[in-house]
Amino acid sequence: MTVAGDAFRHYVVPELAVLLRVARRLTGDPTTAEDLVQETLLRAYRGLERFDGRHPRAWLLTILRNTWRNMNRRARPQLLRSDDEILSVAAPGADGRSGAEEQVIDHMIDGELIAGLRQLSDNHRAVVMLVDVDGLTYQEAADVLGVPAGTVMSRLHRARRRLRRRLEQRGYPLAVTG
Amino acid sequence: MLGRTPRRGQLSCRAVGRALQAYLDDEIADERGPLIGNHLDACLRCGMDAASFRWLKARLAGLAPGPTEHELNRLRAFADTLA
Repeated sequence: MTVAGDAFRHYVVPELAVLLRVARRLTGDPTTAEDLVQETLLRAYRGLERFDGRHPRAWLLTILRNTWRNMNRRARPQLLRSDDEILSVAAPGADGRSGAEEQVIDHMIDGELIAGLRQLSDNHRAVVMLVDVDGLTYQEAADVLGVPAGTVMSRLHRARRRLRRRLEQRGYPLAVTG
Repeated sequence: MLGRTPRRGQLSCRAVGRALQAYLDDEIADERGPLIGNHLDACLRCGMDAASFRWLKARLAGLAPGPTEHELNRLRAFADTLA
């Protein structure tokens, strides 16, 4: 077992799930996402001796973003295309919750949210997907998108208000249902 | 109380509204955090605003399933070949 190998296991392996989630957002395709993460891991391993040990996730997300740019220079991040299959509404009852009426309402709300996400601009949809769906911090989302963290915050603010307004206009009782 | 006039050491509804998303996302590490929390407890309007956004965040977090264990195992196996 090598020092580099230990560092790799310590800093990189715990972030695999986050890397794969973000790679799916960037590529819009599960197979390409796995290829992207593998290439990112290779580059991370090669660059490990230059890594200072601080903020491994941010370091890895930056490598991921740059790797994706190099793999596909002309492509823009997909971040939930209209034909994205990664987001899908689970069938009522699939989450094991009881109550047929509750399940149907849950199903309808999820459908509304996905429709609302698809109507957002690419920039607004991207921050919601990365922060709310994938659980990144503002700085991590900023690293992925190549924008300041303040921009992530302001886009998030507007996007969430639009999504909330959409649900309110359709009569869903926010903060009570679900 | 519906809306609040801030006293010394308190935040206005407007100030809380500006920082609300960051607060809900645990992105506020300074002294504003407890002040915002106190305001949300005391102000009905801001408290309801925050509750609706918390609910929205929770719904969004449940929309997309994470990677499966099978997918992660493939990546772990690949990582093992490097390390």
